[in-house]
Amino acid sequence: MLQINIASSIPLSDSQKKKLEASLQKKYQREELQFSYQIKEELIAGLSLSVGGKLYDASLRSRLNQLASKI
Amino acid sequence: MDIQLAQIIFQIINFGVVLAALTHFIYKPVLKLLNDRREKVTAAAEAAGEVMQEKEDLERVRENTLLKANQKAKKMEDEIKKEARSQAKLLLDQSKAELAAREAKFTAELAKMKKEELKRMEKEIKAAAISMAEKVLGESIDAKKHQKLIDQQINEIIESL
Repeated sequence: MLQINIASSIPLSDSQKKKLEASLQKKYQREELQFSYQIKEELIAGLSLSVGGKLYDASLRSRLNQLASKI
Repeated sequence: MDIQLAQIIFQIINFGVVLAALTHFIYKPVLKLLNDRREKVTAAAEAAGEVMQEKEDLERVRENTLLKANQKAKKMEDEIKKEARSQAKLLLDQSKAELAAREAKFTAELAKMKKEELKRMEKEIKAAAISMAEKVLGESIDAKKHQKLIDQQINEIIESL
């Protein structure tokens, strides 16, 4: 079973969840996926997603951190 | 006045006796005395000469000794002065080197402190800028924009999968 953790600054709508889950199911066809949703206000805006050991972070917090490391 | 030969002869003999007696008892002792005295004077003069010579020798020795002592003292003084100058120069060089090392250390510490302070200020400025950006962005994103942003990000994530 593959654990997928999704964190967002505000709750995701059902359509957003469905879209995301469908895409992930398509990507990991042979795996059984288990989704977990979390609200993290510290992300400011946007969402982050971790699949196994991989992290897809598109939050505003992450962008600001990247910006801070560049300046 | 008649000249009597016997009388003359007597007088001559008498004179001879007196002369012999004087010669024997007066002249010779006096002469001996004078000779002895002369010899003594000569000996004394020679002794005095020797003493004077000895004195001159001693004076010369004293002068030589004094001269040598002065020369030695001068040499020692020169050596002491030279040594003192050498020591002073050494101390001065050491002091200069120490001062230069301290200055270099101080400069390095100052540069390090400056660098650290700049780094700290930079960090603070960054933190302040990010904090301000967070506040501005957090306030400027309403629910609608937020949902739109999340939709957009879902698409980005799906594309990157």
